[in-house]
Amino acid sequence: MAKYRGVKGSVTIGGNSVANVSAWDLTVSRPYIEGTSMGDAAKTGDLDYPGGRGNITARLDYADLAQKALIDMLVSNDDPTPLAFVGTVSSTGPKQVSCNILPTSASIGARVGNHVEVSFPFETDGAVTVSWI
Amino acid sequence: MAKYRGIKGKAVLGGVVVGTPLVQGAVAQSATSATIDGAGFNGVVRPGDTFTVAGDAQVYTVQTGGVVGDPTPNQVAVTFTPGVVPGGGWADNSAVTFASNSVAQVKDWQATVSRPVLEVTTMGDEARSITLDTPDWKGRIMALLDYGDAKQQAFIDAVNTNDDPTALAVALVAADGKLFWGDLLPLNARIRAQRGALFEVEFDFQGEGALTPNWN
Repeated sequence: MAKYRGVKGSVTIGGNSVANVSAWDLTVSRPYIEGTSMGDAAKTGDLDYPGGRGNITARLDYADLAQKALIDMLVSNDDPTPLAFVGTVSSTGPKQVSCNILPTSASIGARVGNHVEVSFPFETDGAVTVSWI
Repeated sequence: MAKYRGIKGKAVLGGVVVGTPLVQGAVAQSATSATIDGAGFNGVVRPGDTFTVAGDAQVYTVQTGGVVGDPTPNQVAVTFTPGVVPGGGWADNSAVTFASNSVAQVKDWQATVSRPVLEVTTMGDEARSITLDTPDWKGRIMALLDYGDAKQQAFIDAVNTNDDPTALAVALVAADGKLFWGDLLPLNARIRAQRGALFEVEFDFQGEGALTPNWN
């Protein structure tokens, strides 16, 4: 079976690589809708529409176009235009997931003994596409 | 790509500038406004900041400041009190020195800007669709306790009285010339003591208005 090391991954926002990324994750999910009714012998259910959420962690560089796009969307009150997210597991193929996202926050922290970091939680807008070549 | 070490950062109550600020043009006695510029001069100047001018012992307090470089690079217009004291005013290119507004002994700061998700998915859609509501920001500053520091004292006093609160100007600095600034209301001051450790104080705060990047 194939194994993919995290250090080989990357992530782009709007076609621009996010600088200094140390982690990203994406969770796709569908809400569970319980359909159990009286008299049933076990729980039954269905799934609602798909959605997703995730997080990008990087060392802060506001001069980086991708990081800037995420932060600028959060510090203004403009109607947001979803950003194109591509999370790459391996550039061979490539093996990646893509979707449109809206960042929901940017948590920036500076601490003695660490690099200044930024963490971007996001939610997906529309479908998530997996490409595994 | 650039990386910034936490130890190079700071938290500031008020504005923060870098470079070599100078008075632009001669400023007459009693004037209450001036333009300041200079090589590498960047940052933000906020109301309440104080400064002195070479050859003039008077400390001046900024009434209105702004973003250095907006609209002209390395330049900002300020108003201040009191009016210029020396009889001859200030000469062109007199050196300007802004007082430090740094909170003493800071070990850690954190700010989170966020926008609530508004779901717009409707019946018949194939996947969830969303948009974002108004921006908000909040954060935390942790420092080694020193109530004798004017800026720590301002934080603690603001949450230790029942006065109608006035937002505090703040700048959170990642490195020289690279900062985020805005106004905040402190929510609490958590003072901790433990045997074998230094006294610490932690301030949670809520942003008031926008958090603005300033990255030069």
